[in-house]
Amino acid sequence: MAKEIKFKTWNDIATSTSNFKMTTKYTDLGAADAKKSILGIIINLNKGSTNTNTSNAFFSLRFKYRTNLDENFGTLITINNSYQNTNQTQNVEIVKYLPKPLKNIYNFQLKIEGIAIKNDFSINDVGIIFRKYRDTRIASLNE
Amino acid sequence: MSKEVWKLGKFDKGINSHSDPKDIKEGEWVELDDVNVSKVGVAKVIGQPRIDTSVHQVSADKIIPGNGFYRFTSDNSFMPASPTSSYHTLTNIVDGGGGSLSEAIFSIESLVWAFPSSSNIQNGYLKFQLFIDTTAITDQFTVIHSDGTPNFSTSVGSGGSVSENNTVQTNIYKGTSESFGSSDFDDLYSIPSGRPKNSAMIGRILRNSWYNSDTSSFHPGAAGIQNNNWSDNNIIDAQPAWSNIPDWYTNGWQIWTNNVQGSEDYYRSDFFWDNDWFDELTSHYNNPNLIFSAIFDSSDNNEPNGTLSMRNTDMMGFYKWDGYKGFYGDMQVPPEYSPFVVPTYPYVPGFSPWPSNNGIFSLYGEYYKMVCAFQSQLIYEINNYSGGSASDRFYAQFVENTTGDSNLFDYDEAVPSPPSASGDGSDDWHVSAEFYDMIRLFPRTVGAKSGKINCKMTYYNTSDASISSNGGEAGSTGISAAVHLLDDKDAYGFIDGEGDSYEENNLETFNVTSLGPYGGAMVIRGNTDLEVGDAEDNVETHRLVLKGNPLSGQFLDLDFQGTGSAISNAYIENFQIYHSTNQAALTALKSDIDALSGYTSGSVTADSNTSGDTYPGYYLDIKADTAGRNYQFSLSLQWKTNAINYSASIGVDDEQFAFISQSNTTLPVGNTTVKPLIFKLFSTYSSSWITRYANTISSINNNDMNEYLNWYSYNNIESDPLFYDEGNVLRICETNFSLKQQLESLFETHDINDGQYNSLLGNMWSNPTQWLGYKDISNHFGDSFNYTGNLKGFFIGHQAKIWNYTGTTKGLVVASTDNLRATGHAITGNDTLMKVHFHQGSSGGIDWTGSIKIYAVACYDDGSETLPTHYFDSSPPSASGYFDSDDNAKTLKLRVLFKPSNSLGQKCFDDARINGIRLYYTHSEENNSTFWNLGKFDFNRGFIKASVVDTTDSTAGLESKYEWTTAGDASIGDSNTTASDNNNITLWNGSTYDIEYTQMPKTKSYEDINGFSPLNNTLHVDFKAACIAGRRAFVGNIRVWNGYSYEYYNDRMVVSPVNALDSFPYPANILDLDISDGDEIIALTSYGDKVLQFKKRICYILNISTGIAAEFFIEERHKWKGIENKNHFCVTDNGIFWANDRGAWIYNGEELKDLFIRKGDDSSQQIINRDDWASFISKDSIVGYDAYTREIIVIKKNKYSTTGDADCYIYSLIVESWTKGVKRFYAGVNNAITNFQNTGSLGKLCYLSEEANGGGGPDNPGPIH
Repeated sequence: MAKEIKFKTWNDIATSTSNFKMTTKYTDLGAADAKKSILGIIINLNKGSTNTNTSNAFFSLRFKYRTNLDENFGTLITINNSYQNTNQTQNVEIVKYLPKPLKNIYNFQLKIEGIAIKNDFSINDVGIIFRKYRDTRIASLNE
Repeated sequence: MSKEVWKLGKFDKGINSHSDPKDIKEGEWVELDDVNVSKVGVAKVIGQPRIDTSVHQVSADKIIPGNGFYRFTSDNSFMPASPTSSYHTLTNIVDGGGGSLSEAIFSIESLVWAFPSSSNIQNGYLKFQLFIDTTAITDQFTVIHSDGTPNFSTSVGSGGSVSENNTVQTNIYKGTSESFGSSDFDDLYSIPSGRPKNSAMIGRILRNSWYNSDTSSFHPGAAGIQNNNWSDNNIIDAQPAWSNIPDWYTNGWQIWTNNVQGSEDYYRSDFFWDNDWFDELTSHYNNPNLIFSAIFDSSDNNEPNGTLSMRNTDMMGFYKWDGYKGFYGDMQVPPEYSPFVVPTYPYVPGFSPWPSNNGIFSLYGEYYKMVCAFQSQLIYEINNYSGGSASDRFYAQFVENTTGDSNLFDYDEAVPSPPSASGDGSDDWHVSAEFYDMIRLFPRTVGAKSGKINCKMTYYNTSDASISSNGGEAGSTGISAAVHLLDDKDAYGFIDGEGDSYEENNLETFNVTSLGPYGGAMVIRGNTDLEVGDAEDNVETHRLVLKGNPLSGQFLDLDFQGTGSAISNAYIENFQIYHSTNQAALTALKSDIDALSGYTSGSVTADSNTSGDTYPGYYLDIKADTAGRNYQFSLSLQWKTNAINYSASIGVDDEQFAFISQSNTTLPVGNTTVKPLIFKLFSTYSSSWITRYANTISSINNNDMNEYLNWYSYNNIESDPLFYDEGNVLRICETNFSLKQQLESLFETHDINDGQYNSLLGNMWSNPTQWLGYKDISNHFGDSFNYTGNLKGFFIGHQAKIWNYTGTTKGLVVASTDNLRATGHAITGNDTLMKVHFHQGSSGGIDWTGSIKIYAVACYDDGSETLPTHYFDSSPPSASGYFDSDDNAKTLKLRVLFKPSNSLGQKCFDDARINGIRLYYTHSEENNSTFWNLGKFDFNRGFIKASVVDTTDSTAGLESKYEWTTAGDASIGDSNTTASDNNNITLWNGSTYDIEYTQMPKTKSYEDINGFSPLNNTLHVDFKAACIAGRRAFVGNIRVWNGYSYEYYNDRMVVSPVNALDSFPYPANILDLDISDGDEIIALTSYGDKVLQFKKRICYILNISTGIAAEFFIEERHKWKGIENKNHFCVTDNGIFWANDRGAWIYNGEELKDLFIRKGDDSSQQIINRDDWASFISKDSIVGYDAYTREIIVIKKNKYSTTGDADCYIYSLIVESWTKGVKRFYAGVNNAITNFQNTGSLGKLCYLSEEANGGGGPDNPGPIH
């Protein structure tokens, strides 16, 4: 039986993904020998205006972290939003603190997973809110 | 200390997966999936391909993966464009189908079989089958199988020797193909970052996590457990299963009794719960009741208080009982990495406690392993079910919880990109790391479908007979009122939006009172019924707007090709537009369409865009008579000037798309078959697919390469077409020499002749290189002769410029006498000949001496010619001393009688590119070394004599011209009227048909005209790679006929003369760069004045700036930068991009840039992990460029068995960095896409993609309800 053959063109405006994933460098947050507490995240994002006729724009982000490269990522925070009936592009800044700070860490790696995103969505800035316990200057030889 | 913020505001450096995560630079990312970073400071979702209806859908049996698609622009089109003509626009305004899928998102929380201990069920199979209402949606599949001793009861007896234990394992879960498991489940204490991959799950048995080949030892963590609450004092200790039992299901407990420790131990499965076990080990509550035989009641100390005792019941399955919640701990679904936090006691399979040195671990996780394993198998069974009717089949997939809550909504939003249909073990099939993912179940076709999820569990004995009711008709059909473990509540749901909203109380109050002596039950979480989707109510519709002169008299062919499974092809031929208005024309057409089976049309409506035109346009919506994807069709329109000849237009800008696909039609050749390759062309100007060049013959003996693409596949060898175009001519070349060889052998064996002329091997050409282009031969021979058939329009033919016109009934011959009036001289019957006669003039000659040899070549409309391989061997001037005489005043005379085609329409020179025959001669006094031009029989302009002024301006004042005229007008028919009666023509200057040369014309030689020697062996080579640069065609990896066989040179190039892009003088124009290095040329391309030759292991850059072939030189060699496939390079704004499994590069005409190396101020580093890349790139990868977004896209595969095959890397020329796309090009399992092209003024990346026919493939399920 013959198949339908469809002509397709590349379009840089996505309709959806469940695989949005960004993993940062493994950082000491600027102080190699200082213990830190991760307090929360701040994210500036753009909620798109494109709603398809079958679904509204939507995003669900999961922030994961690890403090050791040999470990698996654990969940830090999740953010999601369905913005139905919105045809305006919106810039939103979300600040979300952890229920309990992540304490006594030296290094940190962040992974952002967009496990369900529909239609336009973009991140402008991501910030990790943290606090250093003490600050010691050391010479780094690995740069 | 104050708060600080680590800000990540730059994304544009893209992936750096190669460097250590600690050392990557600002703006770089260890991982970027589905993230577009081409806009500085913004990370957005990456793009994806979408259906573009500007090129209509078309049908094909099979795409040649990564192949067969080519876009080009032509000055000519297939639709008439004159002011007096009719024309149209055709738009596919509605794609048939629409609707949404019904679906259910659920998980099977509990699945339990119970047997009375008295039933003596020993060996056999337990099979499971899923239903929607009463309709099965899986086959019965074996869940547990035992055909030996011991049996289901696991009564292994005493002793507990190693060998006995192993025997237990082997026999109970015997058929590995009938069970399921996952090595990823091995580690109970930490779920690895790798997820429970389905590939490891299907057809395998779960292993005991503590399995150790050292059969003498326990797991180090197995410290044993003593429980004083156990009422049976015989039990003194319980030990996790022997580490030498590799089977997970038997991975339960070893029990010591008080009698003689070590000699009366028992091995118990967590999956199988038999009464022997409970005889020894009663409940924590001193209560032998099975927990589902209970009413959970805190006032009753949360104690099972039902009546079904484990003392007389065997039980198998997995059972989730949240009755422990709040009593022994929080049974809530824990974080995904630590599901083993809840201590439970051995009441329920999978909930056994697990002792360790660090405290009590729960095998709550083991429960999830059971569920996950079972559901994996279930999904596999659903996706591979082929029973029932097509409309009753479903697909299923895991869906991930997106938020950590348990709202159904959270699952619902999770997976917009479903996995492969077969569930065949792709590593991305189960996308999450969670065991408690749910199942999305949806029909394979969209539309309204409802029903309740049910199951049937049947026990069969080892003879595959279901056990009688007396012996244990253990089948519990959820669809009948037979036996339900949970009575009528065999399913329970939870409520959207309430978070963790299990109906716990409901579950806990399920009082399984109706459990008979045996039975089973399934408890469902989530949707217990299908949520009903919308029907497919979109009707495939094409809007035809008819414009132009309604009295044009033109004819229209409408070709309806059903692409849906339930609609047939149809054809309306020669519908004439000859009506008072376009409205009337369409009304008449509507009547014809409505009479077709499966098709209908709307009302004829005025077209507002052309209402002010001289001839207002009207439109008609042409539709399928039924909605749905199974009723989709494509429609192509082709215009004719009359009932035979197709229309065409010139001087337009028409973007065209060539498409070659594989047909499933078989054509017998001897005792075997070949399959035609189907060539179609979409004309944007004509807004239609042109289908007339598709091979539709039913017998190989009817082949005709002047009518269609005469190509075939054989022995499942795929064709590998290569396209190039120039000068409004498209060339299509078969580059699979293996296929050509096999076809040649086949045609020789079965003596298949070519419909036009045989190949050099003497049989039908095997997938010859063919051309397609617009030609106008309507002016040939002026008014003296008219061809029948197509005179003006698009022609297709054989590219090879091989002289094939020497014959006795067709072609060029020497006239036997100088008297063209002689009796019997006329060309009659079905002969189609050009007769030329050469003879001597007796006076007026100036310098004719010695003798001459006269040759003929065919002249093509691009100015090229064949080699002078036609020699007039019986021509008198070749006789020795022919012109020598005393007065030496002789002249050369020639005359011609010509019948360009016969009454059958067969042409003497049947290549529409041929516009004349040129004569050359060589002179004996020059050792016949130079081929001098004598003149050309120009089919349009008459005879163009050598050494005379040849102008197309005013010819008044020129010496006498010989023009084409009829034999009668030339008085050739005076004594013999046969010539004129048979449409013979001649060249006539008004007084004579003798063309006389008083001097030997020696102004232009063959080399002067053609640019190469006439002494070359051939102008035709087959090749695998081609490009055009400097107005020359470069071809490489060739084979060439040496007169008796083909010679193959996989690293040789040949270059054409300037502007003669189909001529490859061989061996004169060979370009050997590095000879015989064992590497083959894969592709050629050009950029500026450079030609890039890609071999597998090296790339050469050839400088052709001199324009003289002999002076072309290799400018650069780049080792290990070759490519595996011609799809591995593309042309971009910034140069030529290519990639192999080692890296990617771009060459801008001056500099080669390594796109894997990022140079910093003081260092450089590789940015893409070389192992990742090496495993990503294969011969099946495709490279393309989207000029609009300036993105280079590299796809992993061109045909998909898993969704991961559709991953892509994307390089942005804007920010010069890489990112990765996941599944972006997925077209459905076993579906393929073509190669990439660029379309429109934006240069958007485009391709053709197979779609699941009839809808419902998980790749394209449409909107979910």
